[in-house]
Order: sequence, then C-alpha cells, then structure tokens
Amino acid sequence: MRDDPQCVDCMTALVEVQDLTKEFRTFKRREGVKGAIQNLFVRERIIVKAVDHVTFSIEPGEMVGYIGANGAGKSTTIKMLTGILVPTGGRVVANGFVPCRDRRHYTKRIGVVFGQRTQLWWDIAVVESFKLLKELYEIPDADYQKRLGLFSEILNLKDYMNTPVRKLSLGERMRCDLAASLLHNPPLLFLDEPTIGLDVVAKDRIREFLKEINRLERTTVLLTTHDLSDIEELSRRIMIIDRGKILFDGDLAEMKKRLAQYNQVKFFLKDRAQAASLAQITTDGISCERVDDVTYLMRFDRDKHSSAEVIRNLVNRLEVRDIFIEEEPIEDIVKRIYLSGEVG
Amino acid sequence: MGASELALPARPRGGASLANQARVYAEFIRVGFVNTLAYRLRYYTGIVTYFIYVSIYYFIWKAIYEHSAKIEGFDFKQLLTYVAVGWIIRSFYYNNIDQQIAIQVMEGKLAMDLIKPVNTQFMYVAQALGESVFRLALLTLPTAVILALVFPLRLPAGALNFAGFMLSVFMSFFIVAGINFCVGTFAIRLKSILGLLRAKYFLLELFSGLLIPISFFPEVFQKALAFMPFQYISYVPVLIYLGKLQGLGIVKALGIQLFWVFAMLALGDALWRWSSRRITIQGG
Amino acid sequence: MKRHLRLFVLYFAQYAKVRLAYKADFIIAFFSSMAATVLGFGFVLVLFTKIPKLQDWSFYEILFLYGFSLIPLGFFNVVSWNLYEFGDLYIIEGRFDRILLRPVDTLFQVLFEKFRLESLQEVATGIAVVTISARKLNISWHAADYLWFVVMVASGALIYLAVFLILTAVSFWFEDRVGIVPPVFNMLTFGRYPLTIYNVFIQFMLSWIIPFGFASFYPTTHFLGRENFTIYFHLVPVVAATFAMLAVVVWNRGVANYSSTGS
Repeated sequence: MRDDPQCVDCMTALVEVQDLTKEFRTFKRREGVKGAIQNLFVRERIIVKAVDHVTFSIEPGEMVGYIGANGAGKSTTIKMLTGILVPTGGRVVANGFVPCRDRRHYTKRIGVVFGQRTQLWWDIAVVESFKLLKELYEIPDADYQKRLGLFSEILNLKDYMNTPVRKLSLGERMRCDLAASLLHNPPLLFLDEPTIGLDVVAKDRIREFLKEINRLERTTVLLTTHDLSDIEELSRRIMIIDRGKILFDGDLAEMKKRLAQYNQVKFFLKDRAQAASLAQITTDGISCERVDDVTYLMRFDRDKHSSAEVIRNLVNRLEVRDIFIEEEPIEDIVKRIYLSGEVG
Repeated sequence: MGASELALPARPRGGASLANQARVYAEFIRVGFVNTLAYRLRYYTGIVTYFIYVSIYYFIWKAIYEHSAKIEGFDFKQLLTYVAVGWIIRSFYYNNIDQQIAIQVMEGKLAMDLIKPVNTQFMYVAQALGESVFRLALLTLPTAVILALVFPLRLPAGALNFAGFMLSVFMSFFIVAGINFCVGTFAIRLKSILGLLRAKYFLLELFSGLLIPISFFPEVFQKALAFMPFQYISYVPVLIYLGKLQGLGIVKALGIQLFWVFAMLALGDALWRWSSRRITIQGG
Repeated sequence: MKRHLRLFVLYFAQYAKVRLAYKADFIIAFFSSMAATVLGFGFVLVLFTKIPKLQDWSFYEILFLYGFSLIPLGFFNVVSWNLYEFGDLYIIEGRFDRILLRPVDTLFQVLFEKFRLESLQEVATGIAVVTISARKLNISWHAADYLWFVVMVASGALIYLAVFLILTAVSFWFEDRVGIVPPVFNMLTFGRYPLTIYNVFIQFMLSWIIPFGFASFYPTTHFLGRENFTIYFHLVPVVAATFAMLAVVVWNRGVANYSSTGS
C-alpha cells in the first residue's frame, strides 16, 4: 500500500518517512607527516551508512525528541527531512512535499534552526536580518508585524534588535534564530541541537518559547538534542537513533514504564556510625552506592521489590533522617538502549 | 580538515631555556610544514600559476626584443632568465603572514597569540619558514625544472655566484616576512585590510624588480629605491645569479641585505609592541 | 525577476550600510585598492620609458586596452567575493545548507550575500584611463560606440563571472580549499596585452576555452579601429551568453551533487 504514489494525499501524518537511507562515500585520512604525504597521492574510499532504513511518522501538533550520540545519524536525517540532502533510498513526504524534489516551495513551509550555525547574516543587525527574511519568504506586512511583536515579547528580543548578530551571546543568538525560523509561520519546525552550549536560564527560555508556539500555533516540532532534559521538558515522544538505526520510537512515559529497570532511593543516615549496618540491606537485587559519609543511593529491581517493602526494610534496620524515592534517570535508560542495540 | 595537525605545540616546561625555545620554534616550523601538506591541489596548481606568470612575460619580452638586441645591458635570454629566476625564487620567499594576522584579528583570536609563551613575530616567521621549506621541495624545484625545460634559460654565472644567490634568497625570505609582519600589525587597527594587502602585493611586485629590472626605472626612482629594502628581495639575488654582480659587489650586496633583514624584523617587533598595547579584540 | 531585483537592491543596501558604518575604514580600503590598481600600471609605464611600441601598439593603445580590461573586471569583482571563499565558507564550513533552506535561487544568494564595494575603484580607474587614452589617441566616438561600450562591459563582466562560477562550482565535487581558481585568476593578466603577442595555442585558449580575450582584447580592437577583428568583436555578446548558460548548468549540477554527498 505504501508504494502506491496516490497515497501521498490520503496520509494524515504531517511527516511520513519510509525506509529512509543515506550512504556517504568518504576518504580515509591518514595521520602525521607520512600520512599527509600519502594523502597527497592516493586516497582510500570507504562507504558509510549514516542513516539505515529509518521509518516513522509525525502527526500535526506533535513535539518529537530525536536523540542519539554524535555521528548516530540525527543530523543526516534532519538534512534529508529539510531537503538539503537527497536520500540514497526510501522516501520522505512532509507537508505534502517530497523535500529534496520541491525544495524551494517546501522551504516556505518549514522552519529550521541549526544550533551550531546561525541562519542569520553575521554582520548586520538582527532586525535587518528579519527584514531580509521577510522579503525572501514574501511575508505580508501585517503578518510580519504581528509575529515579530509576539516573538520579541515572549523571547524578549527588544534589547538587541539593533545589534549585529556577531556581537550576540550564544543564547541571544539562538533566540533570534528561533524567531527568524518562525517568521513565515511554518507548520513544521526542525531544530538541530537548539540548546547546545547554552546555560540553564537560556535553555529554559527556549523551552518555554517552544511550548508556547506549539500551544498557540500547533506548530509541529522535531528536535534533536543530546540533552535529555530538553526531551523531558518538551516532548512526549522520543525517538532514539544509533549507528543509523532507530532503536526506540514511542511515548516517553511509556518508555520509562516499560524500560526502567530499577528505582532508586536516596537516603541520609542519622550519623556516620550507622554505616556499619549497611550490609544488611544490600541483599538480592539491591545495591547501595556511597555518595558521602552519611548519604547513600540505593538501587533496586522494580520487578523484584516494591518501594514500600524496600523502605520499610531500610528504616527498620538503620536510623535514617531523610528519604527520597526517584525513578531511574532517563539517561540510564537511554544508555542501556544504546548498549543493547535494540528494543522489542 | 587537518584539525588534529593544527594542535599547538606543548608549552615548554621549566623556564624558557634556549634549548626549549629552539624546540618550540622547531615545532612551529613542523606545524607549518604539516599544515601545508594538507593543501593538496594547491601545489599542483601552484606550479601552473608560476608557469603562467613566466609565460605572460616571456611573450611580452619576446615581442619587445624583436626590435632590439639589448636593452639596459640585458639581451633577451638574460632578461628571460631574469624573469624566470625571479618568479622561481618568489615561490620560495613568498608568505602570507600579514593575511594570517588579519584573519586572527577578524576571528578575535589574536589574544591567543599573546598568551603563548613565545615571541609572536618569531612564531609567525618560524611557521612561515616551515611552509617555505615545504614549497621549496614541492613548488620551487618542480617549477624550476619545468621552466628550464620549456624556456631557454641561462645557468648561474658560476659556483660562487650560485652560492651567493642561495644565501641572498634565504635572506629575501626574512625581508619579506619582516615586511609582511609589519603590514599585519596594521590589521589590528583596521576592520578590513584587504585593500592594504593588495597595495603591498603590487608594490612588492613592482619595486622588488620582479616584473622589470630596477635599472629600467627612471633615474629618480632608482635613486629613491636604493634607500629601500624592496630591491633586495628579488632584483639583487637575480643579479648575483646572472653574474651582473661579482666578487666584492656580491659581498657588499649581501651585507646590505643582512642589514635590511634585521631592520625589518626590528621594525616589526617595535610595531607589534606598539600595536598590542592597544589591542581591541572583536567579538567573542 | 521583479522580486529578484527587489531582493538585490535590499541585499546591496544592507551590505553598503554595514561597510559605510565604518567610514574611515572604508575610505582606507577604497584608496589602498586604488593604489594597488594604479601600481598595476607600473610595469607598462616603466617599460615604455625604454621602448616606443609593443608590436604595433603604441603606449596609449596599450593603456586603453589595460584600462578597458579593468572596467568589466571591477564590476565582476564587486560580486566575486563569495566565490573566492566559497569552498571554505560554504562547503567546508557548511553555510551552503542555509542557502538551500531558503526559497530563493542558490546562485542569487551566493553572489549577493556580500559585496566588495571598493572594487568599484577599478571601474573608476578603468574609465579614467580609457578616457585619457582615447583623448590622446584622438578617437572619435559615435553614439553607437557608447552603446557598444556598455554592451562590451556587460559582456566582459558576464564572461568573467561565468568562468569563475564554473571554477567555483568545482568545490561541490572537490573539497580542497585552494583549487584551480588562482592560476586562472592569474590568466586575467594575459588579457591586458594584445592577444597577437602570444603564440597560436594561447590565442586559441584565451578565445575559446577561457575566453578572457573576449572580455578585453576583442572589444577594444573596435574602439581602436583595428578592423581585422570585427567578426570577433560582434561575437563578444554571443560568447558571453553561451558561457553564462554553461555556468548555470554546471552550477546546478554542483548543487545536485552537494545534495547527494553533503560534503
């Protein structure tokens, strides 16, 4: 059914990706003086599969977190979804377009932000950049004014509207980039590492803005990141890619429920002397890790023990001042997914 | 590309002894050498570039010598050799220290130079020397061989002349490096020094005697140029090669050249001290 | 077309504003480039103190040719800036991605993102030298000649642009920073002297392979009244249009290759 080209119209998903594959041919680089001389004459070709039969779809209004280590294939996927790269195999339909084929029309209907590279003109003032974009995207005056007003309010851009981009801090620049990518009101927004290198406050502001835009305009967002707190804050859906393959695609809460293996209990002992009795609680499936003299972190298998039982056991045997129960951190779950390489 | 090769040499440990200093500069020379290797096509095309230059002037001078056998004491073959050898040695002494400094300034990285525990001028000159040594092997020699095969060039006037010529070219490098470093220090104050770099480029081409022998210039110019370092970059070394300078003349020329080497490097050092006192680093 | 013209004006105005924000700096850049251009005449000036003629070309005829060659070159240089840095900034550093993400032609964006305003000094110097030489040579200009002059300058600029676009597009396939641009750039010097002083091979190359002859030598023959090149003179706009079309084809292929390799 999916091979039927008519299907483009009947799909309800905003982004439909089927068996997407990208191979690169590169040259092996040799190191050092000897290698540099060898490179001068002969170079060895290698083929790398950056994205390997990736399939997923995104519904309108969704916010999806796309995560993976460096070189896992995140950026390559985004580049294919935005029309910069032509896939080696498989297909993409987004907003009703095949991105690389209808690139120029398609770009009017998407917004893109690359965290490491600004989309703005380096030497000119922010507001001038916006004016150029207004012309490039043929945005009507009224829309432009309205959206500019809205963004400068939520993102607080007023103070540096007249500053050249090169003089902005990373956080300020990212806010401007975000505003720039949304000036033409695209229904679909791609963000590649939008919070990379930002401090906590700046990150927070960006996240709040994205939530607001998603709420107001139902803008669909696909963001890559390797900061998992971005995903916890923003998206309910998470996709994990590693070595070009999707390892997990699903609800974040669902992932936690299904794949979290342990819970953890952080506790503070009344005094140092209590530590002597620690051995009594670390039995079958329960481990205990020392943080400092009186602080310990206990992990236990969710299937074998209930929190209530573990805590009862703990307070019975040791004199404890404080207890905090926590879920397994999402980083640990993701790490395990990478290691196992596949999820059922 | 080649990011790993760009890694800076380690800081010298335990004081700045002479041996340590030497090791640091040697490391800069090595980095310059390896960096240059990374530019593949540049060397293939560099040879073509120099060949084109010499060809242009070959045809111009050929047209000119159709009417006269000798101009200002040069016959056609001598003049052709003058032009070819001039361009060949240029492929060795050439460097773009000025451009490098300008780029550092534009990217706001000049402060990085200041915190390195070495003399900034020596660092740039040492790195440029590394590149020049490299070009000697991959650009200068192949260019010389090809030009000698295609055009009827003259051999050096004698063994002594050749030795003097080599020494002279070696000093040319330092004069050019010194001048370029001076020009580079202006980059610290200007937003765009491209115009300045181009002006310097054409000034050196003309007044070093690369395009046309200094003796072709009107009298007044010749007198003025005698008090400047430019002709010691190209005109003088090639005169030694051709045997138009002999014996004591060579020694005297080399002496003056040596003076200009130190003068230009000293000027560069002074300008740098003066400029770096009011460095403004653009952007972050 | 109208939209592109509007965008061009906007881009240009933006960039001019940036450059003129530092007036003193711009003035230094303008006059130091002009000094460079004037120094470029040094060789010819010194040479003609020793010789009366180069082949059958007098001093002022050579000056006319040299001066004329600067005018289309100056216009070309105003937009060529991004071409020299293209491999570095757009391919290796990846700015071309940004170009691809905008709903305007890629070539348009690359050419007009930055302008080298000071290159207009070459146009000014060229016109001054041509005017002086024309007066010394007692060339009489008819109304049609002015029109031809404009056509020749436009064609010349287009030829330079086409040649260097083709060479720049090579960066789409080879990532090496310094490619074949510098040697060809140096071949511009060939165009400053009469094509007739070169051997047949170079004459052929400068006419049909890298057609710099059509950007400087052939146009000037008409104004200097050298009738034996009339056919070539009339071919100038045709050669310019042909090479421009070729350049667009090569460029678009390069973009396609970039999209499939993503260097």
